[in-house]
Amino acid sequence: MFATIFAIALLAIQPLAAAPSPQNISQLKSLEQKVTGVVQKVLPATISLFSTKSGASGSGVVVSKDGLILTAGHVVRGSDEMTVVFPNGKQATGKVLGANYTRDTAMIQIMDPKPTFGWPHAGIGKSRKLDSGDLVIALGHAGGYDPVRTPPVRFGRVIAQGQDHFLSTDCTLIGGDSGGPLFDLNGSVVGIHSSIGESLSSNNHAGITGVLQDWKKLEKGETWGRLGGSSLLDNPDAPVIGIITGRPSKSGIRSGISIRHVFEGGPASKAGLRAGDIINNINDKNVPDLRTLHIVIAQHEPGETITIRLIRGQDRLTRKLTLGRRGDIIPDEKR
Amino acid sequence: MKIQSLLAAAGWICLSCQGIAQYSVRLPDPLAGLSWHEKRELKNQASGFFSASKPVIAEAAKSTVSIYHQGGRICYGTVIMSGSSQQPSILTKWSEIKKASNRLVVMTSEGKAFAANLAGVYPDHDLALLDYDVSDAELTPLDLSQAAPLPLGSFILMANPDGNVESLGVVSVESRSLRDGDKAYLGVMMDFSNEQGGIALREIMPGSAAAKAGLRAGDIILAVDQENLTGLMEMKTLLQRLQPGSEIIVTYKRGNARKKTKVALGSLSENPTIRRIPQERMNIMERMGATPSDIRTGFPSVIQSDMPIAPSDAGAPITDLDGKIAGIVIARGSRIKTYIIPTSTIQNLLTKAPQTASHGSAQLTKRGPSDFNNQAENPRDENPRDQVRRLLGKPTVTGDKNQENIRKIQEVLEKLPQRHKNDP
Repeated sequence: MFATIFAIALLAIQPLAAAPSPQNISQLKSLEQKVTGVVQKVLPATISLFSTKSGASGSGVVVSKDGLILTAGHVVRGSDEMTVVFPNGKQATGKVLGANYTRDTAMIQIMDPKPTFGWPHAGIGKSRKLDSGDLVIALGHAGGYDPVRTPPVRFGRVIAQGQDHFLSTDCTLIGGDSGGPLFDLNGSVVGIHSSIGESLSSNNHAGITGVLQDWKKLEKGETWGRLGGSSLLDNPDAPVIGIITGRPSKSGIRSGISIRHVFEGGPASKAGLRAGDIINNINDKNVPDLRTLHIVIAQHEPGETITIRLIRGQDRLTRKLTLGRRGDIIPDEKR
Repeated sequence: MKIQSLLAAAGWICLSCQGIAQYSVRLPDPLAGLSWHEKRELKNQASGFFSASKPVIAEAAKSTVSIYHQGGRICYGTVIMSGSSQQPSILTKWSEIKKASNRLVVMTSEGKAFAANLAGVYPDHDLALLDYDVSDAELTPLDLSQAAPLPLGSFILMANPDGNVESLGVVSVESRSLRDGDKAYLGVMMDFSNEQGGIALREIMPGSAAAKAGLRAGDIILAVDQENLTGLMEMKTLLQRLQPGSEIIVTYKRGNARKKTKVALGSLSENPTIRRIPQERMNIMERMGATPSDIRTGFPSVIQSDMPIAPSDAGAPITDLDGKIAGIVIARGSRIKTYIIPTSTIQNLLTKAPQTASHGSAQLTKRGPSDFNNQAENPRDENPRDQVRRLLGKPTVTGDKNQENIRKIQEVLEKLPQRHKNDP
């Protein structure tokens, strides 16, 4: 490309490849050809997801001919099933498998019978080696599924690698894009859309390398982690009990979700829940894992009262808890 | 990408439609964490794109003009051949110049300034046609006959009169109508699930296409034009891609009977109660890193691009990588989108005579923000001498133009006939 002696000298100190940039029209055109080719190939695999039960919605990408879908953790929260809509309007039912909230990633399996040639899908790439300046393509059902148009194409570059395999790009995202795919120029999935910041360069994606590390756990249906910053970013009108969850405790009928922290003055605190308690059952439904806990809570509205059965040491307790509103629990973070 | 990138840091927001919050965690802007070297690399990369594509827009740039009002550039304009007058005219965004009355100054790519007048409008498209005295400037109308359809992901460029690529983006969504009236409408409320082997109709809108065809609540739609449906979304997709007035054969189940009926589809605008719900949180996100145009909806035909622009960039021509005209920028829609009126639509439009501004006004105000009506059509026009005095006091007012340009604009303004406050 355009390596000069000066650039090489710099590279010796700064081990960075120069960001790829076209030098003339013919290079621009061959890049354009790559982009249009990728879009044509992967657009049919870019799906919209929604749940009429939890009210959640977002995007996702099919990554196997058998109908395995990758999406964002915060999109599946509170759902055990979601409706999958392909860009041509075809619908299918997806079963939520596992989620890693910390990395904001999740897996869904399409339950409908597979079409003869399999579901439209995209390949998996690598995000670990992506660097500032690498060119990428984002797709997603911005603003939700819209029958009059295909999911909008956005082209940009990697701005920076973040913590825990997150990366940010200048492919601009908006509500509804969550869970949608980021592709490299080969059309392989390298990221899952997660969040945005004020600037046009603040579009954040969970890197695919993190998903690959979690793959088996996600496939098995395990749900773990915490929506780091994003836990504050969810729907402010969502119902919450006002705790930070700990590990699931797996000991037969005493199993449940342990409480790591209780927000002072929050619903759990008012109901007398304490750190160290194990939530065993809500409204006569056992909560053996985080996913079930979220699903049970998502079925209610803030202000409704639920009955929680707890295990505290050797004791079993029952408490009535009035659900709060997420936005009221975190008053200091108001924009 | 835009020439100057925005570097503001702020909180981050989740993207799930329902999970969008007004609460955010303060995290650093990703650009802020980069080393000096990395930032320079990104900047060089962007410059690479702009300089590599610059030769392509040379022709389009020559037909691009800046439009000034009261010393500031309010938008761009594209020189075209008007079909009705057979004269070169300037096409621009009506709602941006509407605020500026007739006291418009146009500056060419060669730095020549002259006065222009509103000749007429195409209100549906929010386009205005400006006349000027052809002896004032020799402008070459753009060749609009060369346009080819652009596949998704195609690179497109925005020209500015300086001969630079002002912004660069890709085709995000192919040309479509944003008008409800162009969308076919059946007139039913449908169940989300197709648990009953089809789409159950919950309610039939009185007088709708469905009612006229004899469909009733409780009927279960099995197929449209022999195609079995997987659910509500497929039904909606199918309907919205059809034109109002087109006919479909609906196969449905009533009780145990399998029936068929022919439905002549209506238009979505016939039912004013069906509207997308405005989303408070979407509104916040739409403005993150972007300033949307006042008029940004309801266009009969637009290409969507991820190209970042300012509302004052409207009116500029867009080219593909062959320099062919892809269309004219009409609006910044939101953080993720810019709307472009495709060349074929403009070509079509220019064969028709424009409407008078007073006739088109009502249509425009319906689509604007609630305060659009209050923006005076003729804001208090200063007399040119006051204007010059004010401009001299604020020499940097144009932002992107130099003193020389300001002087030229002043000259044009001084030559304009004095107007009275009560002029229409």
